[in-house]
Amino acid sequence: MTDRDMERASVMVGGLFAVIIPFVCGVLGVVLSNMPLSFTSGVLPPPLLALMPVYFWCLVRPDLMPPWAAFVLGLLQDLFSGMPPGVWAASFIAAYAVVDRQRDSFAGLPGWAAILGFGIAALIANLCAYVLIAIYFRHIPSVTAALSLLLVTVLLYVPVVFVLSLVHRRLVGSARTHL
Amino acid sequence: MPNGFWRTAKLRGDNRIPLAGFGLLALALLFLSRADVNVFDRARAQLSDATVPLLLKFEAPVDGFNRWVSNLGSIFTIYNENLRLKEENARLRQWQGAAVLLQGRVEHYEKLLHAVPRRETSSVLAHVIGRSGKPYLQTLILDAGRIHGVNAGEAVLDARGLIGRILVAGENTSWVMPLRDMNSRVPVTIAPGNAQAILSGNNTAIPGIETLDPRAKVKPGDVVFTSGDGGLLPPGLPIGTIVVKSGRYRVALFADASSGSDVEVLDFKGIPEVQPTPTPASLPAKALAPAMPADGAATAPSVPAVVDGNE
Repeated sequence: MTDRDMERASVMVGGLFAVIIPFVCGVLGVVLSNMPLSFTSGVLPPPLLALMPVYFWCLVRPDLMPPWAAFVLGLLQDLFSGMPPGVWAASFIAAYAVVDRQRDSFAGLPGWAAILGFGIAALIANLCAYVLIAIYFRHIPSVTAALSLLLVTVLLYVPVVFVLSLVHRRLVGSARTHL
Repeated sequence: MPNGFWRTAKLRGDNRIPLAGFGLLALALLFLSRADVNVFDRARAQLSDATVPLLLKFEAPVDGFNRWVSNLGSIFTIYNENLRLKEENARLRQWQGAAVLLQGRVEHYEKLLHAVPRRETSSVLAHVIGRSGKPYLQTLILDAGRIHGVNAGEAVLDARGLIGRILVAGENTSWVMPLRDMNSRVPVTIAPGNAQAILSGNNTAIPGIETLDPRAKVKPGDVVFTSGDGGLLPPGLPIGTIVVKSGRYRVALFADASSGSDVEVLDFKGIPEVQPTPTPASLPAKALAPAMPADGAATAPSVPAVVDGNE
């Protein structure tokens, strides 16, 4: 094998690695946020951690977070959280669609306004889930519970986005893929 | 079509299914799941079975941390709390004596009346290994599943009263839907007025009361039990007491799903209400025909005998 072949193989492995990492971060978010353990004795709901990688990579590298990945992560969130299949999948896709359409506006938000950008995406996902659950169960869910989920998710985004940025810089890097 | 909502996936290179396709697929899954959710339930059960070792490892330190945090404030009130508990204990001992006396009297009357003996219910003792307080579905995870005799729909109690029902039963674990969950509906009886209603979860510590007869006399402090209607849960399981909040009846639950760690799962199989099979003679047309006199004057049809013992 020549040096050129080795280099090509290395680039391919690196590219594959870069593709997998955002999705794995999403799966990790699903697992962590649905662990049936609470440090607040159930006072606060667990945050929607899986939405954070979806939003983050949809903005910075949409080729690494395609719609199917957002859909599968939403479906996993449904499976792990005990919701009817499709609630979070549809909600993640709705948030993804808005971010994808307004990518330039979202990506241009500086500093703390970037948190507000995620807040809008989280609000869309939560609103969509709220409406679907109300239709599915024919019962209006508690607004307080939905708001607390939104609040916890947005607040937790602040530390999580630092971790995601670190993962992106160190592991994903500038690897290009053909997705 | 311009760049944007409908073709973003294609423009990015993923030209198999557009974004809206995934949205429609999710909605289709959601509405199909109304017909049959068993596939997802089985997957959830397998998932919780697979994560048991992990849950057991993390449950104790997290539970200890929560207990430590919640006990921080109680250090300053422990003396008064002790006095209150002693007083409550003395009062409960009096009630225990009265309950034992009444139980004996009820058994004696039942023997005199040749009442149908109550069916024995077996139970399984389980340990809570996980709790999740999600806004749309609150669940407890127990370390007992189908191999221990736990099945979906069975009642889950702690020492104080009913906690909820088994939602999904896996091989070694099961999910419990607590009474306070917004999807929980339990038929109840409110004593002493014997009013019938539905206990409806609302994701708060005090679930609401629905379909209560407006003429029913209910007051704060009345005790709420399971009615056994529908045959899903045994009748007479203690649930809580009536309280009034914002002008509406609510139920302060006896059991606390957020703190109880050992629970009992009752194996109760209610006798299904079987409709009596209509005989040709009991059908209105047939019943009327022989009774119809020649002059055409109708006589009242005979009322069919009630066969069902539950009636």
